[in-house]
Amino acid sequence: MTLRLAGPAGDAAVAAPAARPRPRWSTYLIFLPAALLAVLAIVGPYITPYDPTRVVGGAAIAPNATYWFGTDSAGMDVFSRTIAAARVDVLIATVVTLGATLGGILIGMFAGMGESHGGLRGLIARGTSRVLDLADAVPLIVIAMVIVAMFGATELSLSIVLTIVLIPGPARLTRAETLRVRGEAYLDAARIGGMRESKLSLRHVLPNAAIPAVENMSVVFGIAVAIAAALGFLGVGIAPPTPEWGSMVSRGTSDLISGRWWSAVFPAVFLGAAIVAVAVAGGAAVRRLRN
Amino acid sequence: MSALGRQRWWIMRTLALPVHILVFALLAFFLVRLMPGDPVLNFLSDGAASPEDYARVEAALGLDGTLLEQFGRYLVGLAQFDMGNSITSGRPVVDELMLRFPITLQLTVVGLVVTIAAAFAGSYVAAVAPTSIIGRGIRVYARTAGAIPDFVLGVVSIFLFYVLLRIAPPPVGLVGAVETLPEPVTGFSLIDAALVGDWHITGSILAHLALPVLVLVLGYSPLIMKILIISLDEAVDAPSTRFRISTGASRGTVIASIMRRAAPPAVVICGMLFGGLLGGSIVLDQLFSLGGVGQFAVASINANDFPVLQGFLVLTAAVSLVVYLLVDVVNMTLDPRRRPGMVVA
Amino acid sequence: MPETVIGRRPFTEIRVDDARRIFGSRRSRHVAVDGVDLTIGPSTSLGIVGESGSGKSTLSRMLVGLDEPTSGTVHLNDVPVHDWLAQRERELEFRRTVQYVPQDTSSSFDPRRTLRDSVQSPLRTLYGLTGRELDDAFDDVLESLQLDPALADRKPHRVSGGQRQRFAIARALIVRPRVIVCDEVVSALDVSVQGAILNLLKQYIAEHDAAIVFVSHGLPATAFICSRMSVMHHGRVVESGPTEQVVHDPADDYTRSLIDAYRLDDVHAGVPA
Repeated sequence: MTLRLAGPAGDAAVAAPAARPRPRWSTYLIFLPAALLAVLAIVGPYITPYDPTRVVGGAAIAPNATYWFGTDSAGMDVFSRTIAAARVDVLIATVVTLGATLGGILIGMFAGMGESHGGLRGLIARGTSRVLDLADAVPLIVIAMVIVAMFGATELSLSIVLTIVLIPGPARLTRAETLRVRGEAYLDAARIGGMRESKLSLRHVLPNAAIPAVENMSVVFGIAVAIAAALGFLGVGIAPPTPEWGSMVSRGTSDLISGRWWSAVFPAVFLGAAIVAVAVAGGAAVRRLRN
Repeated sequence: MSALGRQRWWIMRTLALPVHILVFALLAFFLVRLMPGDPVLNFLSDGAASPEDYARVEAALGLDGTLLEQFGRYLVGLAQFDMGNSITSGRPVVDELMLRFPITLQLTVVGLVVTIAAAFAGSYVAAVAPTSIIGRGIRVYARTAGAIPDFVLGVVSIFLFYVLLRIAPPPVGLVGAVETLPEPVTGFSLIDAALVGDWHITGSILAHLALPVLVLVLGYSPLIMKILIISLDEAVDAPSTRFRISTGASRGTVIASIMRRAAPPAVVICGMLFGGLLGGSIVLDQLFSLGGVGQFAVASINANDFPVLQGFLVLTAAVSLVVYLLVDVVNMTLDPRRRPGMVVA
Repeated sequence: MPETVIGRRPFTEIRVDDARRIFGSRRSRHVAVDGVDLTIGPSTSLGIVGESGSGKSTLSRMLVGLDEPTSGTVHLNDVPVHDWLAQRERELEFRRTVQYVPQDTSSSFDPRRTLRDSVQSPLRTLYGLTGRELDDAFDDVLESLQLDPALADRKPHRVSGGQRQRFAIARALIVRPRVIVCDEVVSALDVSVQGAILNLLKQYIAEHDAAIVFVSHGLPATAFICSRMSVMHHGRVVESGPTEQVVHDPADDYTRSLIDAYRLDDVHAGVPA
């Protein structure tokens, strides 16, 4: 085929985008706290000065040179326990984030693609959308605490319950984006090119519709840590003596009120800092990916 | 369209409510029956269990008879607001819960009002003075503080305001150790105390609620502020606004009118917010020993009192869903486009 | 796979029989296409003009099987499009014969894939071409459209609107269809680029004995490229005939008003201003 374009050759080519200047190392500073958290979660239990599950000294000793964060009411070193506790919640939250995001994407796509169909598929899709919209109404902590109370609190059961409870977020995001993508012209172009609907969903709809849910992962992570720790605080988390921030705060509360603040405040601050670190890092990561 | 047709949207939405509640009732029903192991034995965990004990607990848990019989009894009971009896106290679950629910609701409602007020105030400042330290601080706070757990903020607040500064009362209970709560007329102690004219107790309750409310505000205002700030920024940059400013209206007045226009997204959030605040109130109930359902639920968990937990789940879901429905209806009243099935010309 | 010949599919005609397309439910109906008859054979260029909402885009989508008429039929070679698409092998054959170039929007290409990927995709699916053969065909079509191959490795938002539209045409022409339906192909382009693209399409029709359906709200461009024209208004064809006749001696009032809206010189000269 030798067609020649007669007439003016058309507009000049758009210049290739200028190479982005290498970012200064200081822009990576914002990821440091989250990175530290990750390191802590991995090596925490191995670098504690004392065994985090054993009584190592007198009860309720204030922070000093020997026990940096003091000891709790049982005589265990608060610093060691606080450092070692990072692992539990971070591990659960990681599993939950992956599971809820993946599950949410699949469910959201199913709901978004199926909504306009008739018959059983449409009915289930619309019903799913309805359930997803309602998921916000009832406090997640209540649902989680009742289920875990009945099923027992192990790392596995907590992960499963939290995953289920956190699926609606990514699912809603994916469903909304699926509905938007469905109207895009490139889907029609793919059909014209002979692509089957199933392949189209996989190749064109999924990668585009899943983007908001993926961007949202750090938010889900933060919520997962928060709820896991809250369950620990309420007494349905990982059982003592395994160090866990929530249960440490719960056990330290009566001491706190009596003025012996260290066994409750340190784990609480670490927990809060961990969540903020992830939120900040996640937000920064999304902003950089978008540009 | 007929009068009935015009009203169709909120009728349908209201009729859907019992169905939604039923979903949670079903969840509660099956949870106990899906538990690993035998729930009866779980409860009788210590000591030998005679056949009489077993039968007694089984009946108390509602687990006697076939599944169908159980389900029938369960549904009938629900319709009559009967959720069985607590295993620990023997009294009806509904009574036990209704004794304590209003206390938690009280905190939630007060928290909701103050949170909304604070969020609007904070967003106003952030929009009017976006480059000031306060303005920038509020924006950063709104973006990052949303997920910090309530009990974390609670513990830090107790440490700051009670242990260090000594300006908050001891965070144990709704009133001081030597004080007594008013007679429960409505169940909402603030109202009950005011009804009797006991201002001293009312003040004490408010003082004891101050920290929990502060925690709720700190924890949940970011949710509204995030959205408000975005829509305020958009409205501020809109051509119509800049025109108004250029014709001499003070920046403050202009922003106030923008607030009115930017408010609707915040109203939408309120339904979700109530659920979150209720959850937060339940956790704080335990932390501050306020005597509401939070403490009660935790105690019931420790006692393996499953009927109470079932009732707790269903009641919380019901309350949340009712509020969500009300917010939905308000939304749909304000903005006809949101009504399901409405055809907009 | 045996030695593949790209294009040269059998094509007798596309025929539209009393096609109607109605949107909406009981409560709010919208009749987009209201009883249209049409016939297009090889080596014809048919222009369909009308304002927004005249139903021309809906009609063009029905021609290529992206939409089904509520009543009436669209045939390719005497077989209803519905039947063509009902079975996989026939569907592929239909797509080899009839192609479509949409208007340039921000979403005519998948934003996450390179232009190369998107343009090559139909050739891969419809003819199973891979590797060297695929790249050669790709390079050919780019060359004919005077597109710099370096642009092809970019994402769609990194090229200009005019370039993107040429890539869209490349995507349609790469499989050498016998029928091309163009929907507002040049409407969003600079006038200087319009002429070049229109000439290219004219050449293609001649070289491949193809048919083109040129849907547009721009009269001059349509008049330039099409030997026949149909005017649509409120879902109906109100005027149809050779371009010269429709432009110079319209029988219908609406057509007249449409033509009057343009400067006479443009239309008579037959060249975009």
